[in-house]
Amino acid sequence: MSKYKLTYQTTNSYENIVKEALFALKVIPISNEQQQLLSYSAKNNLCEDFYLQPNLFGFNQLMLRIAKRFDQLDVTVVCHVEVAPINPYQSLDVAVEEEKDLIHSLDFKIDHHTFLDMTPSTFIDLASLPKDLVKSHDQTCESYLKDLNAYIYTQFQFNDDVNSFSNTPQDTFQQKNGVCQDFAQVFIASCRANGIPARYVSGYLNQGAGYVGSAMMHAWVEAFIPGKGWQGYDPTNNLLRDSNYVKVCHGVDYDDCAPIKGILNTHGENQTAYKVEVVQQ
Amino acid sequence: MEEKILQSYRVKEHLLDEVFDHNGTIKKPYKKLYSHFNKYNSEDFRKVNDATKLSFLMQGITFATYAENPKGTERIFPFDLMPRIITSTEWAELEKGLIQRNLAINLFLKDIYNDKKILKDKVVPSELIFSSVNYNKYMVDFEPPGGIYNHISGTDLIKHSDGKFYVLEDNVRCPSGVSYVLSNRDALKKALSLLFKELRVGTVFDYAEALSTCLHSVAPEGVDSATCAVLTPGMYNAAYFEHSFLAQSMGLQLVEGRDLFVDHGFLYMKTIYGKKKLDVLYRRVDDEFLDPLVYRADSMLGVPGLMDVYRQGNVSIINAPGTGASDDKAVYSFIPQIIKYYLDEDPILNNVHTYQCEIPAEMDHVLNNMENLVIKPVDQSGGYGIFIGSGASKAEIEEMKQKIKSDPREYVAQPIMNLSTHSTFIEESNCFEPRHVDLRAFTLLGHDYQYILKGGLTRVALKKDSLIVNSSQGGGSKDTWVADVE
Repeated sequence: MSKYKLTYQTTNSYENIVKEALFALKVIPISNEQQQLLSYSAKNNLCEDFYLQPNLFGFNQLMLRIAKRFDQLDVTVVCHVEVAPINPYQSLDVAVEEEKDLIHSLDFKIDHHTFLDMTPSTFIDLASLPKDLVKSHDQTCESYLKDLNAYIYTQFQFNDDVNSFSNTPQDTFQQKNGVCQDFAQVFIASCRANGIPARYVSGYLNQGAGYVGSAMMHAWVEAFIPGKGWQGYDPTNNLLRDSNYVKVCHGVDYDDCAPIKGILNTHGENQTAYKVEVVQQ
Repeated sequence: MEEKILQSYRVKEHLLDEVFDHNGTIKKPYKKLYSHFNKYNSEDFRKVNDATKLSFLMQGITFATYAENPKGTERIFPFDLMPRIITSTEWAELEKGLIQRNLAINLFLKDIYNDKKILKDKVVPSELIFSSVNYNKYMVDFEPPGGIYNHISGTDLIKHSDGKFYVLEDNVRCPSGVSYVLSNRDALKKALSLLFKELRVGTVFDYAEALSTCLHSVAPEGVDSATCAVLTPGMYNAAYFEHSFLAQSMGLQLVEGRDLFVDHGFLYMKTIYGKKKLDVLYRRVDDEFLDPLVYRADSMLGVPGLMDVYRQGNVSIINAPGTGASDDKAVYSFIPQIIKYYLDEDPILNNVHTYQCEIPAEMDHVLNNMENLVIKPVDQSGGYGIFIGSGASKAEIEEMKQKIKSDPREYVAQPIMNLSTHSTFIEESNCFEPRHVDLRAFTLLGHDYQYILKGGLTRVALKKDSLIVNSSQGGGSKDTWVADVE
């Protein structure tokens, strides 16, 4: 068992007074077979009440409605989580023939449409993918996914100076650098172009393990392997998801998983910053 | 000598006229109306017509059009005193067909957002649905309160020269026009009150009660007495008159996005007495503007957080988001199969044959027969972007062909249908002339509740020989009477 204390802190300041706002934070880990949320606490500088609201995939968002005037919002969320030992390297081999038929069947495409459908930030043409990333007919999904993970890790440079909020997979391929979010979206786009369902995952990474991307909220991917189910891949570190990872939520792309979203009644500039602490206990 | 106002009327040869047959004889349903109108000379008639129009202006019954001026020009909704009459027998058949069609559309919506059986059974191509911009991921794996998606439907019908009604399109997003039906009726009741009694014209004034019944029947579980509101984009919207009219006549609140907020999983309205919980939101705002938290973040018209509250089952949205996946023109051609699939019945209402440009063989047919077809963009409402091949120049046809080739999914084509004509009082000539008409019929579906508005909106193409009746393109309207006149 790995136990973690997670702290998420954000400060937001606004040039002009905000008259009304609704914030949705996706920072609280889920409880599922692999991990258990033991407790969480949240506070803000405006002394407003938080409440929980499930989003479309059922993940709890920490909501904050503010109906008074403010120009500064600070939020601190502390969570305690327990993660079960995960050994992702136990492989369950499915016969290739069977898998191929399944992936190309209409029912499979319809059942998994949500995570096969490309979005603007996870779009890539099969034709414009590098040859190495076009899944050959006799390759299993699992071997393709491992290759894809390694390809992104070796070909792209991690560079957190890049402002990546508008990077498409196409951009990332051209620039050959980016942050975990860009790598996740390239991974997802490549999967979907090859008919493998894939989803964006947002969460925390153990800061004591020396991995790249643990200073901030981390992004990785879950891909659907027929006969096995959803498996986590982290192209930023060329790893499979293990007990160093704490999952918060998943979605079709970054937009479903943004750690903080706010709709505010104001105008002008704003400054926002956040930091994350992940301490193994 | 007085000129009688209907005597110089000419019916076009290849068209069906609702009032006269080709020998110029008045049709039976219109006989009483005709003898009544013939008591007037054109001067008297003009006076009554002007008085009625003035009352429209006083009531503010207007519509903004964007056809000539991108900013929108507000105008009186054109209207004349000659009603369209549909016999009770004909109407009974239409009514059955409308209920059948809209129930099937509702089952189709439930299916494409949940089990997707019709796609797996290959009755409707999954590509067609999944590629639609109106397929809404926030509706997947979710069923709205009461199990209804298309609470309010506006079905556009025409009468072809074969004398049969055909459905031209389904509108199940935010169909508009009911307020004009009610205002038209109001005006005509004042001008022609004697005739209403004599012909026993079916009422339209039960609509308010019906809509209220419908809204309350789909209130969230556990809500006994629902609070309902109409959400309008605001006074600059083309249909603002309708929004305020509906709110007023249905006893609902009229609200804008900024009047609403969500908190702790519920939707609230700001009032001078504090917050008030809203249970049913009849929204006249398009999907993408409905919730800036999940759709367009720059939308000022919606309510942040609304969709999550909706998915939690704590508010009903009328009509459900994502209904646009069932009423685009590409899905239209599958409606007969959709009716058969869910209800195991033959469609009662006729569909116009539709060519899908994304199917190569059909695209070839379209490209080779442009002059006999109407080309429609799949996704535009309000008659914008319709291309009619018969009147187009060679260059225009070439240009349209290029558009189709570059984006086949975006276009469908139909044979040019002959909309029937109807006598319409034309001010410029001070007499009655034939003008093309269609009919928008309104259906309400609630939980175990169905209602059809008796009559609907007859829309008139006011330009001579024009086939485009949409009010946004400057069309007018007529009162529609369902009457025992056989």
